[in-house]
Amino acid sequence: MIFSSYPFLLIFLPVLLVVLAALQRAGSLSRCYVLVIASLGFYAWYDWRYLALILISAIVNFHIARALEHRAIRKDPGRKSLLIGGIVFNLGLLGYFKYVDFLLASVNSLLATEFPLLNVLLPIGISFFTFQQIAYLIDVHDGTEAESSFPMYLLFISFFPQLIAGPIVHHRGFMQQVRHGLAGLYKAPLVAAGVTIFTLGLAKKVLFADQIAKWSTPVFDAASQGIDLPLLESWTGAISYTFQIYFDFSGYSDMAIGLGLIFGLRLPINFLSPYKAVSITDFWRRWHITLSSFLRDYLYIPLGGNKKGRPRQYVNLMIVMLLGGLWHGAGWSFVVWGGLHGVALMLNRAWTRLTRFRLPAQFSILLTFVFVIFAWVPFRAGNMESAVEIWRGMVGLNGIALPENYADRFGALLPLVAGLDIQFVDTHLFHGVNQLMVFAGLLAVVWLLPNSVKFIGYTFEGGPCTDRPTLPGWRPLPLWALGISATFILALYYMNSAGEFLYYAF
Amino acid sequence: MHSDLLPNSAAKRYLMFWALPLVLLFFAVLVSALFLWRSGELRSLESIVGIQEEQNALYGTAIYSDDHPYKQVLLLNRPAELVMLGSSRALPAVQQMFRVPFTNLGRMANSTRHLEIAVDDILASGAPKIVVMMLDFWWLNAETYEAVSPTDIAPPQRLSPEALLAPLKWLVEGKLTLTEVVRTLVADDPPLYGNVPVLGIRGLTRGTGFAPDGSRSDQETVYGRSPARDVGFAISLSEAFEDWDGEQVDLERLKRIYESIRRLEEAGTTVITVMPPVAPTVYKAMRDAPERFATVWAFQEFMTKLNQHHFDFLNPALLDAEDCEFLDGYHGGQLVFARMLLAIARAESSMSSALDLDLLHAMIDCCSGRAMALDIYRRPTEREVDFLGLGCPKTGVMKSG
Repeated sequence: MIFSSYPFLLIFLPVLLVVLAALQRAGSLSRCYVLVIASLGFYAWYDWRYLALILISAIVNFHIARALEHRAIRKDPGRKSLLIGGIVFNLGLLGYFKYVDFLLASVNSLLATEFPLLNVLLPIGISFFTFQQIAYLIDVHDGTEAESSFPMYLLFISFFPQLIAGPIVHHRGFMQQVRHGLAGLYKAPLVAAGVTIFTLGLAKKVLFADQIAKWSTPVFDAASQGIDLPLLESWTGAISYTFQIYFDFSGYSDMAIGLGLIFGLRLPINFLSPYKAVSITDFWRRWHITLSSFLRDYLYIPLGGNKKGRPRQYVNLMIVMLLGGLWHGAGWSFVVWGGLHGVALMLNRAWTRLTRFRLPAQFSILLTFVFVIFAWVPFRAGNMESAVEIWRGMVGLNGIALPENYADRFGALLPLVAGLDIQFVDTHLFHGVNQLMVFAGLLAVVWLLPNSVKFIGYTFEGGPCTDRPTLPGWRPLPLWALGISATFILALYYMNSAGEFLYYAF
Repeated sequence: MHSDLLPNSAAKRYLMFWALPLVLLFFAVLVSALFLWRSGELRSLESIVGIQEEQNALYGTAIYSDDHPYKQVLLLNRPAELVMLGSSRALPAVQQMFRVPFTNLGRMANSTRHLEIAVDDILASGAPKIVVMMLDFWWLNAETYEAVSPTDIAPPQRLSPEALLAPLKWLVEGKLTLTEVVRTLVADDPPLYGNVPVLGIRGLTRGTGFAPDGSRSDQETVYGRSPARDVGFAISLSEAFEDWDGEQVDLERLKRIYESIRRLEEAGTTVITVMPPVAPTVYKAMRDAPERFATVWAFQEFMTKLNQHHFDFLNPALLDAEDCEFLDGYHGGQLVFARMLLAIARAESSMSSALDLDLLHAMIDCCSGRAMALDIYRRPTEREVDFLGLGCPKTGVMKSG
């Protein structure tokens, strides 16, 4: 059940809202229980077998955390071993369900062996709840108070707005709100902001991401069939996917925050206009912010961060990005994507250090954006053969082709165009000037409009919110309410073909 | 967050205005659900087939793609001695043409893969005496689509969000009028199109759908209720022509046909295979580009060797069929079927005894040049129009039609 689906919007959400409405005067614990049951039901909807996994994972981690806390009081030196045991358990679970087949396939490919693949079922959201629990164990080891109530802990792990695709939530901030009795408590100002930001997210997903997918998917499908893609087709695929994943993840992040607000809980900001980034370092402060923070706090800094000299810092950066790539998917193309970003981060650091020359901001944004487009290619392609096919097209190695009906538009210039080795073909992958205009419009949206959280005025623990608004922000006026409601209905109308969120796969 | 600083009253007023259109939408969806229910779209296929049988009703859904499951239910609920199996090109054959119980399984076999599944269904329901298997000339063309999606053959979920929203979308798009909705809500059960009991929104609004015997006639086009699509065979000679030409024969598909025939014959069924005609203009165009239709000529040759009860009428001249007797370039009308069945009866004694030969002759005598002759669902005031724009006179009316 995805947020942009009829079962979720027309059944699951209204029923949950009504049940919680009936419990507004009841104790906060009862609302928590309802949210836990709803969240587990939401998760089990995908596959009931997932439920056993998340419950086992939560039970084990809950008890390890409790044991860590008890040993901290006794100053038991075995705490570190327990923590390592907990991390190994979590990574083992993740490794088995997500990476074992990748590992076997890689070994088979490298050593010409024939280990049979296990075809393990990949539980949705496992990367998110695993990281969330690893962070929790480390925090408890470092002195954070462990959660004493298992239902509360289960709510922290399974709260459905963030369960499947983040944001990765820190225990402290989340549980503080729960302990204050806010979970499931309706507060009109928060609900008003929540429905607004949820609707904006839904619109991004249904009206933008899913529509753009109709342009990107055929190009990547063609590449996977080994078809030589000319320049414009290749760029069409890469740019379309660049916008698709932007609106998809941005939409999901908005919906998660919106649902959190409706149910009385604030979730961390995870997405902050990443295509406005002036450098690749800036990009990672804006894209999947909670993952970046996790990797920084629990991997980059423990590896030594920038405290052990420049070469080591670059190595640390590369390790973090390669593992970050692998976190996104069990495939070499994801590793390559991470590696490309690692190289870009190293170059960015080196440039900043070695020269005082700074490119104009607009040029930096453009440069970063073009790099990001190139890097998304292996991320989407799923295998390096397809990615290379598209890259070849993007740099012009497969020539240039225009739609057949464009030949007439060149008039007397046609021989000149033909001399440039431009072909006129019957293509369904590049849609001409109209498509370029759509791209320009989308670029204006991502570059010029404020992001949703800024637009609504949402902050989470002083999270970054640095863009200057270029439009007047949202106000709780009837006209806004009607506009947002109309947007919601429009999204419902177009939702028939809504696809899954891309980040659900990770 | 500044929304925390909002006055509660402003936030509540905002939520009220936000919810207002949604509440209206909720009531609209409720009306939509009622409309679906009253129109028969929410009924089970078993119930639909039962009502059709009792009241001679047409079933024309506008929501579901349920041809295959509908025909499955028909097979189980309507025991037949003779069935006609094929794609949409088999649909015009009606019970009146036969003296024995007949079921039309048109649209159940749209490709050789569909054919295999349909044969499974026929055998599961008890093998009939005769199966007339209508083969489409493009079936062996390796470039044509063969895959069967599970949604093609599984019964659709009748009450789905998509179904609930569909009437609202059509109202917005002007495909459905408010009058039609209101009329349906207050109508008899089942509602009527003219004097014809109908189930399903397409039946309600266009008077088109499957008859109780599984046949279907394109009344919308034939009587000019909707604009014709294939004027002068424009589509048949362009888009469709492009879709079906090809040079590569897929012999695996031929094996599937052979295997399907063999399985039915093993169950004691006589299988008559027929390659129905295309319109003379289309046939000429195909013949003028022989290399483009290499798979078709190969298919014709294979079939004559494959089945001794095979009839190849692809060339309409073999039947004296005219352009005017076609619904479009590829779909013969009832007159074409009358001609085909008479030609088969001349060679197959099993068929001659199963057919109402007098009626078939009467159809040709009275109505040559028309697509339809036996349509009990025609409104008394309606006459066949020149929907192909070919200057067809469309004269003559069957006494029974």
